[in-house]
Amino acid sequence: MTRFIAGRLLAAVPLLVGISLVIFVLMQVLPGNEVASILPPGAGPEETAALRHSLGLDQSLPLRFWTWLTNLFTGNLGYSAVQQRTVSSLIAAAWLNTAILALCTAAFGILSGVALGVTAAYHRGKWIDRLLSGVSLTGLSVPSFWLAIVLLGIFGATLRLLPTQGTGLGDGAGSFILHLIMPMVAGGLVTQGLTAKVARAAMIEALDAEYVETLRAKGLRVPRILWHAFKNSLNPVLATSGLQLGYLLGGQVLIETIFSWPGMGKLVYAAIGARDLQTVQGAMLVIAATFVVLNLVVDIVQAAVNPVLRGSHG
Amino acid sequence: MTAELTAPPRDIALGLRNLTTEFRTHDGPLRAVNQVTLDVYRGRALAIIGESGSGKSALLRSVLGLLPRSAKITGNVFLDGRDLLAVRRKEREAVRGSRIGMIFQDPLTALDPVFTIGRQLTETLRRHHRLREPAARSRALELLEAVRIPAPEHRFNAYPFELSGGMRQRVVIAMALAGEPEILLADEPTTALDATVQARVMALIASIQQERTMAMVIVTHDLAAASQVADDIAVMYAGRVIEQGPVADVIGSPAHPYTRGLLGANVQAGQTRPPAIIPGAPPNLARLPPGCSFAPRCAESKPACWTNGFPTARARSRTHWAACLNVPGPGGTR
Repeated sequence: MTRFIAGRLLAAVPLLVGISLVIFVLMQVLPGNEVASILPPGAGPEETAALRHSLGLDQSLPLRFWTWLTNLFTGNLGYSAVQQRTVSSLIAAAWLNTAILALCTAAFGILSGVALGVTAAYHRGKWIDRLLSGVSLTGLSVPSFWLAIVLLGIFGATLRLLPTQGTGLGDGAGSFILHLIMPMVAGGLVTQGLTAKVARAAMIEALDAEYVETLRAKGLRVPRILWHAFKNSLNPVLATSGLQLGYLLGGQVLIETIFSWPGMGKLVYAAIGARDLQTVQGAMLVIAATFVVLNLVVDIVQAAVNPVLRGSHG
Repeated sequence: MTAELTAPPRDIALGLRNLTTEFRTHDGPLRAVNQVTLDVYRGRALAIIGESGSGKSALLRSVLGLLPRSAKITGNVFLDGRDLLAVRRKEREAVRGSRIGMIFQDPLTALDPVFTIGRQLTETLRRHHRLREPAARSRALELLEAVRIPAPEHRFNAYPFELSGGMRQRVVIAMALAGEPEILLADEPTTALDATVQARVMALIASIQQERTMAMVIVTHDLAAASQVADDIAVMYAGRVIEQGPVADVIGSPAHPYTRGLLGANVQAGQTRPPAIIPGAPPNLARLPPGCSFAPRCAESKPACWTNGFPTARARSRTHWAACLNVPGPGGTR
């Protein structure tokens, strides 16, 4: 198992370097003048050139890439001239907020999705299966931003039951939970629907397997048999869950904007609009790296659950 | 149709009376098991022989209740005087593993691939006996030794895919024995194994059955294995038992034309002529011919075989009978 993990870690390094290159190149292709948004209007060519030199923009592209890449290893993601702060400080706060929302949303979506899917699979063909499948399909189909606005309108503005913006983290756990409910539900229904679909299909396949007959013949009771089937169905569920969590960790632009949740999505969106390329570059790299690490973790968990996946073994 | 066996009374571990299992199909109701009446005696092994589709596997599953809910099972399955088909589901399910153990055909798919074999053994042990984990583990190791798996401590933490077919099947046997059942059902236990391993696993099953004086029902189409392992043989065709008796009698002087055909089709080592096949194919169980189900393929059939419903059992001797109009009894016909 350790060899498996070490191998995967090593493979992640060239992957990340490649991703950095792609991001860097994409940034250079963006239209718009990075310098123009920082300078006051009416600035002359001398100021432009001076600023460009101080930002290192007059160096050759490969040199700039190399500088940026090596800076990454020291944790220096650049400086945002637009916001007058280091990119890393901007990202640190935003990433934490996004991570909290993402983890809660993922937990809600995945756990409820698995519960729906497994229950539907166990009662396959009966009305309860149809009901639960319909519920998860609805959650999957409803646009999350529309749902977010509707929830905000009903519970936030009209009924005034729930707070409408921010994280509420500074005011204690109770306030945080209240602030969390709407963005979590609005953002999590898609995850719930997808997970339920996958969990149901995987569970049905597991329940149809031949070893289930052996388990019954051994005299095991139904909960135990379901546990066996569930463990066998985890593979696709874990894979989908990992992808969902990765997507959520990347920052949900719409949800974060609607609920004024200060996370990565909001940060990147604002930075793109302000042509704050340093921030965009750094943020995108962090998002990509999060995804890579997450996939690595999912792979490891899958291998831990299902020994067949571990590769060379006995 | 009940054959009155006037054999000396022995303990009957499992008594099947008019057991019938019916499925609904597009072609109509299909009787996979049709009015089967059998006795399985304590300490004796009964081999059930038949082609694919004869109903032998469905028979075992009907006894344990492993078929889907859509299967309609009627008749009686007497275990210790209690009819398993008449009791509540919980009681019926409590029998599995503790009174009746089952060995399945394909060891590759019979074991759960994501649990170690040690776990699969201890969970069975703990289900049937009140054991803590350390005690369960040592009992599991004893079981692995009993089925002659080398280095059991090492194999305990292995996953099924790490073991060979023969070893996996030994684990399946160990799991069936975990609850210490008095009856063992084996559904073609060696068919899916390599030829070199078949004999050894069969010998293992036979020795276990004898050591623990279990009643055993072993379904197989390997006549040679049946003759070595079993005390009695029942031959099934199209869902019915058409001949039954002690091994030596059924194989030595088969009474039913189908049995004779089966024995004739057996290939002997060193034989040069092509095997004698039984012409035709087994019938569609949803559309059985009137009269004897075997009549369309039978070289000895008479017009009466097609008309009088399925033939009743005729005694060839006190312990040996066949359901065929052509069987002369010890005292003449009928």
